[in-house]
Amino acid sequence: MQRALALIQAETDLNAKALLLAGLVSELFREHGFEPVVVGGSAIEFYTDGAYMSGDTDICWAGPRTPTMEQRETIMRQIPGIRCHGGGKSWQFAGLWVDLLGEIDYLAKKEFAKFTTPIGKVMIIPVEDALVGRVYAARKYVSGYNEKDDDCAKKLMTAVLTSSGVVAFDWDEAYRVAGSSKYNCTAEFDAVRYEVETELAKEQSGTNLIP
Amino acid sequence: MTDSTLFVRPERCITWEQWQAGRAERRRLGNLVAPAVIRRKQSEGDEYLRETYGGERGPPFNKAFDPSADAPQKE
Repeated sequence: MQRALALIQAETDLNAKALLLAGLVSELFREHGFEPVVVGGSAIEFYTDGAYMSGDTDICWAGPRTPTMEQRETIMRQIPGIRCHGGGKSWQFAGLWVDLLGEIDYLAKKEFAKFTTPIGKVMIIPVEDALVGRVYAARKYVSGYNEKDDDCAKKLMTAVLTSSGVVAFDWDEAYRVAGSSKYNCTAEFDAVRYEVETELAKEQSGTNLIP
Repeated sequence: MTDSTLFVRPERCITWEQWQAGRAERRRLGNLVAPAVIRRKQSEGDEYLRETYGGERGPPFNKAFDPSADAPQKE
């Protein structure tokens, strides 16, 4: 534990620090039989390095058991100096927050990704769900367009199109998820894919791009 | 380390070294299609985030391999 805490505190890079902290929290909960999974913007950040995440990392639960608030409190209090906010939902250590949420909601049949850090293993929501969910949030949810989510979706699309993403990507599965009743955003998914492919083609031909 | 009981295919398992090695390239390619820093302006949990980070939703991005990430954000 002391080595893990020292590693997290010494890390100055936001993304690496957040991943290390997620590794520590994941280890602590797995020791008690729970299956934490990182979701949301921080999951996308770990996939892309896209400078998207805020100061918190969202964790949901897979597997048959979801920890009670008492169990969360007991497990998180093993970390010396940790601070709590919101009745056990949000926890702060080394300047970063971890939000402990509910059961994970995802559609992709493909498995989670597993990142091994020096502190512990971190399970991350399937990249297909992460991408389709962000396209939906960007172009279909409520107002129909959210610039930040759109930029985020484009960065993740870039990662999977260029194979610079850290894990394999299943296009068939992504289209199945995009066509599901939950999202129904196949056209929007195709549009983002086309726009990103166009931008990347410009780079290949030396004519691009974002200043 | 305690391993997860969730099944993960080998091609979806990433070591710390593999993740670190690809970061600069992922960032470079991502910046071809969207601005360098794209953090949302608001979301759930803003109250305690802004309290923690001096009015911002998180600490500054300070990736050593890309100093431009710390440049002021265009709105």
